[in-house]
Amino acid sequence: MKPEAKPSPPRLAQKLLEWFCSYDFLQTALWDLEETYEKDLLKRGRRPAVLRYWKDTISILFHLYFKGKSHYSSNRIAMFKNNFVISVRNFRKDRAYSLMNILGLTAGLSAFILISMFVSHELSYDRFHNDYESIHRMSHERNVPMGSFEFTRVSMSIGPMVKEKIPEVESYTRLGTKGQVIVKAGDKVFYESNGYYAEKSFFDFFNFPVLAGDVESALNDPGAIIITESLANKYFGDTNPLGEVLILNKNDPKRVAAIVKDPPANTQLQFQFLVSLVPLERRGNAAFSQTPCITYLKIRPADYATVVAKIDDLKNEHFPSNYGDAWSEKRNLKPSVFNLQPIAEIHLESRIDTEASETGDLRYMYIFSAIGLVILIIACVNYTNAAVARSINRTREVGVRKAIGATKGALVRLYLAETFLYVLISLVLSLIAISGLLPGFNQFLDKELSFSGLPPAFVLLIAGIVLVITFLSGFYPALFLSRFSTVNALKGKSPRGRGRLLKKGLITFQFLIAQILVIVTIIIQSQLSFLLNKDIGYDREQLIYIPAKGELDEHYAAFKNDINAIPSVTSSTYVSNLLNNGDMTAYPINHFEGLEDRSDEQFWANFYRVGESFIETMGMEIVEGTDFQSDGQKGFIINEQLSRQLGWDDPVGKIVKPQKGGPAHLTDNTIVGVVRDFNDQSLKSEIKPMMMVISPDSIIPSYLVARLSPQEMSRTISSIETVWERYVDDRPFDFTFYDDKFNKEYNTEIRLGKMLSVFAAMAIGISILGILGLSAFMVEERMKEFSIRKVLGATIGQLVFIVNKGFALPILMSFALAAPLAYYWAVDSWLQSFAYRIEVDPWVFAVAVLGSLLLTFLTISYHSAKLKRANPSRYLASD
Amino acid sequence: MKKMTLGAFEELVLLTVGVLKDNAYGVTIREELEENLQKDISLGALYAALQRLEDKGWVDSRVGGITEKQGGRRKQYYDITEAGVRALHEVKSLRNQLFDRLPLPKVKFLDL
Repeated sequence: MKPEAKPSPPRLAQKLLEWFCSYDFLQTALWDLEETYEKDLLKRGRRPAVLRYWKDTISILFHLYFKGKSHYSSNRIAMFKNNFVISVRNFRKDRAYSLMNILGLTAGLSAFILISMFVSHELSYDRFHNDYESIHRMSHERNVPMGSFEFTRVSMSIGPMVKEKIPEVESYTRLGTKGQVIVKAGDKVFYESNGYYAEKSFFDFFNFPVLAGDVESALNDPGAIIITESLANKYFGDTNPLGEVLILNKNDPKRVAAIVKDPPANTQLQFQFLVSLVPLERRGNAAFSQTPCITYLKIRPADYATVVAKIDDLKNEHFPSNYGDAWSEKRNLKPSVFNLQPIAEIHLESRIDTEASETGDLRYMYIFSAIGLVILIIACVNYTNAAVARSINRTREVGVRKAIGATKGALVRLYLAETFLYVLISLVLSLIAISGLLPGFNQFLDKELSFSGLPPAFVLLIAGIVLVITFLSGFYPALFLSRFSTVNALKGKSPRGRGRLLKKGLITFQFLIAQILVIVTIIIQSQLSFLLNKDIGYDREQLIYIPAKGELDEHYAAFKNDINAIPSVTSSTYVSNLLNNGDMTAYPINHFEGLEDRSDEQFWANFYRVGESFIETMGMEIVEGTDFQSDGQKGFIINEQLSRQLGWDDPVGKIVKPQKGGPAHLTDNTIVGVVRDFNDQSLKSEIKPMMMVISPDSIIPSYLVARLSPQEMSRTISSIETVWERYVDDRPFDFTFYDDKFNKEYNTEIRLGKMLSVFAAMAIGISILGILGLSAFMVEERMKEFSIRKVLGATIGQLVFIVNKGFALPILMSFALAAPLAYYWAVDSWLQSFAYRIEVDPWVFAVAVLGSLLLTFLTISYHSAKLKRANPSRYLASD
Repeated sequence: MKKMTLGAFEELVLLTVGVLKDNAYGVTIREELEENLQKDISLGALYAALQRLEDKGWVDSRVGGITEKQGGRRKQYYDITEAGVRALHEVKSLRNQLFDRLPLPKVKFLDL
């Protein structure tokens, strides 16, 4: 019979004890530790046993270091203590040098830790749900001749259908977006836009802790509402909200049936209230073309491929026309597909414009992680360079230590301990710095990062990083110093020239990184300013919109007239869809004059129902034909893109018939004009074909758009509010500037740009700090040479030039590498994601290289004062 | 010479060593203490106390339990010395004295 192998106590802990305890004490401690360990193993299991072993080990080492008598510990403890004492003394001896090192390391560590906090927050999205790995969101990619459209929402019937037909689908849950609603309780009225229709299974899928009430029955009851804690506070203050009534959109009273905790920051589902999905279901819009529901499926990750294939089969079987692969193939299109995305990936990897909350970008996470690491490495390089340079001051120390018997290993440990001290001090400082910076950083990122929100593993990351940078920055100097030959070192001669190549290499490396960051930052910033200032076909300045849904009923013409009567309102109009809002109404069109033979092809166009002075108010331009005539003649205005796609040379006067479901009120289907292309979607995509039509009197468009004159805008807005209050008595006034709306689309990029600028500046700052220290040592080291030159009549300028020469070459070399690398990254991957982009100018590169050269030159010239003051006789006297 | 003092934790350790008679070594002392105090005690803290007690001469230590298969591991047994008992007694009587002088109203609620 084989004896069962018992798990042995942690080896590393045992090794540590062996290292630091005297032999006798070690044997005692080991007996006690092992006996405890075996008992724990039987009574409490492996993990607690190992944990206690470690705790005891650490407590013993701690005791030995701080209080223990020497006969219990090995000499290593004494050496350890001594190393620290020496380090502290050295630290004090050369304050400027020490502070510079600390400053560099602190900056590097702060940048690294901040970035890690940010990245780990972004990666944590929607990972807190039980079972998050099996929750997948269904999205829909529709490919039609007019382009590719992606939707986060699908038909109401798809969820139940896949559950029924595909056994691998364990369950589904659907969410309907409620859009903006007016919520009223007592005298409190506000707009709320984060509401969803949800069904019973919602809380089986997602972990949002319930504070009070029964959520399952609430989601079955059309008269009930579930609200978050903060919404409850907003409307009911301190009173118990359960059973109270909230009135939605004036006529839809809901009883508060449950309170849930506010969704955490790291979820896509930032809801404030939930109502039952039942009414939405009853309304009977189960038709396949109607897509009201975000649908989540639970499938085991292993079944993913099977389910995707089966959904594809279902699609081909049940919706062959418009959706089937054969249909797409016949028209030479990419097939339309349903995509399944794991919920944890949505935040960073979804490319859909209309996600429920602002998305991040996985690529930026890689970039930021890289930047964080790289800044840390630059800081390490500084330390290494400075320590090697300073070693000339310590040759005698090394000589003496070696002469009295220090081994190489002991010296290496001494200098590593010194590095460790620096890193530790920097870590403490950077943690202090971060807690100071965090509020500003959060505000800037619109996030809620905090130390307490970090996963426990983060501590391990920090501990690991401390060890890694201690070795990274301390190992080479330690090795370098310990290699000095005893005799030469005692004479005070340091091995000249050695380590110089490495020094140059490291400087090259630092500047390589700094310059890449500068080039990339400039390219990103110029692309951004290009986007934000691009002519997008309409004038978005001083333009506001006011949601006016259904409220103004028969008064809306009068309302508009009253607004127009305000002198500082230049003009105003109505529109059905907002531009740059991510929403659009696309209608299939199957009749174009002269193109009847292509009528099976299905053209899609984005549709706007507008008010009469739309073109004028928006500042658009008619390039062919005329604007809508106010004499009642109706017809279409199309954009250049549609005309181009149809291959029409002379579109004005042609007749277009939209399919059923389109704007049926039209009596006249003639195209009256062509408007210059305008960008109503993100500038990442091309302009889509578009048609607009005067809104019929029977349908009230959703938004009033007004152009204001630039003077006294706030006065104008309050006048508009007064008019609003005259017509609408129980709905708050709400407006948005179009340019704010537009800029919001590029929030991610704007932040990326700003963050990059900050970190690029940091990278350069740390590198310059390094150069400052290094050149100081270089000047010191060559003072004799410079003194002779001075005696022989060299000017200060010439001396400064000599110092500079040593640094120019690494910078130029680093530029030669940085330019292609930055160009490859920025142009190839980032710029390509924009449909409208800048050409990269060569001056960007010139700025990077000239800037670095200039900064270095200025830094080094700082020493010219010293060169000037220096008295040659002092430096030459000793020889 | 400075008078040697007996700290609160040291006192407990010393008492426990005495109570355990011949079987006082790291593991047993810790177990006894943890049971009486209802809290975790780290070996480091225990060794620190034991070593201080030994320096002061209040406990003696002897080695036992060396076995072949334990690879040189050994139990370090501790025995309370006469001086140790005396120190304990001194502390105890000092305490008792002070306690007895507590004014009556303050001890009333103890219901003695």
